[in-house]
Amino acid sequence: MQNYIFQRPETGQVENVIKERWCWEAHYIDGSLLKQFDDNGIFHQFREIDQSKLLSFKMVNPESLPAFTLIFNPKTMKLIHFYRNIVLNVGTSEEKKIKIYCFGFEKKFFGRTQKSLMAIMPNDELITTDNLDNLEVS
Amino acid sequence: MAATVEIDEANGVGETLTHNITNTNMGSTDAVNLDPVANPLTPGNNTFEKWQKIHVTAMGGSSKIDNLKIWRTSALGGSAVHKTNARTSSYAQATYATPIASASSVATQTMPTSAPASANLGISGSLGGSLLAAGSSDYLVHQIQSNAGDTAGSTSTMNYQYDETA
Repeated sequence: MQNYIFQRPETGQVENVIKERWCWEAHYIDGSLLKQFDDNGIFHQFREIDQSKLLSFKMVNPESLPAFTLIFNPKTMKLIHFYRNIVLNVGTSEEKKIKIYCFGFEKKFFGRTQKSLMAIMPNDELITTDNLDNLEVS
Repeated sequence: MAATVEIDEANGVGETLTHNITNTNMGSTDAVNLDPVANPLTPGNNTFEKWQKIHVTAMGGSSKIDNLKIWRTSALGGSAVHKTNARTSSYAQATYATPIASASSVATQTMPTSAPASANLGISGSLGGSLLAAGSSDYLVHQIQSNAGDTAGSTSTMNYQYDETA
């Protein structure tokens, strides 16, 4: 497991962050790139992405699986990314920890907020939904 | 790593807090990691309440933890019920009180048997609350209430989930 460094801006505290199975990359209109786990060993938080200049958002796997790409429109979209962590059978011999990598966008449509969400499941299946509560895990 | 999360449990008059509990067994005594064989529930009685928290011990580079959901799976014996303070509406933060084996006045809603559609355990008194640094959820209070005709020896398990913005 490769450790990356993160310095929390609120406290100055340095934290070690282990690279995730799926990581994001923010590709900007000017051709520049921000990686969640960059090539200099630095971890970047999602909030560091400048969405006003974002061209595309990619979820990439270090094991070279094909990337999942979201073509972004800064004028109409608000980017979403988080991990959904599920712990089943807590405190038993069958305890199971599941991490789902969630990303997508929300946009206003006639005054209402609509979400388009994608979930990368533990088996790397990609599921698209407007409601992540519809996901079934076991 | 991402955020590090554990379950803590409080017991006794003095709210003795045990971090990173190894199980959430329920029975006829107020104790953490209890042995259900040595402390069985007699049909017709209630277990002692459990007072537990989801504790984020390290953020691991993440910026926010929220959307806490708690539920149980597997069947309870007979007509026993599993009650909790966790709920998706009309939520109120529970203030610690010594766990009791009489019918809980805090755990009054049936524990869901699948992941609820929205958060059912709050942070700082709100279902929409979040942790931006290491810290804990509100107390999750739960209790099994049995009936005299219930079957002994049933097993059900707890599950939880949370969202993490990295």
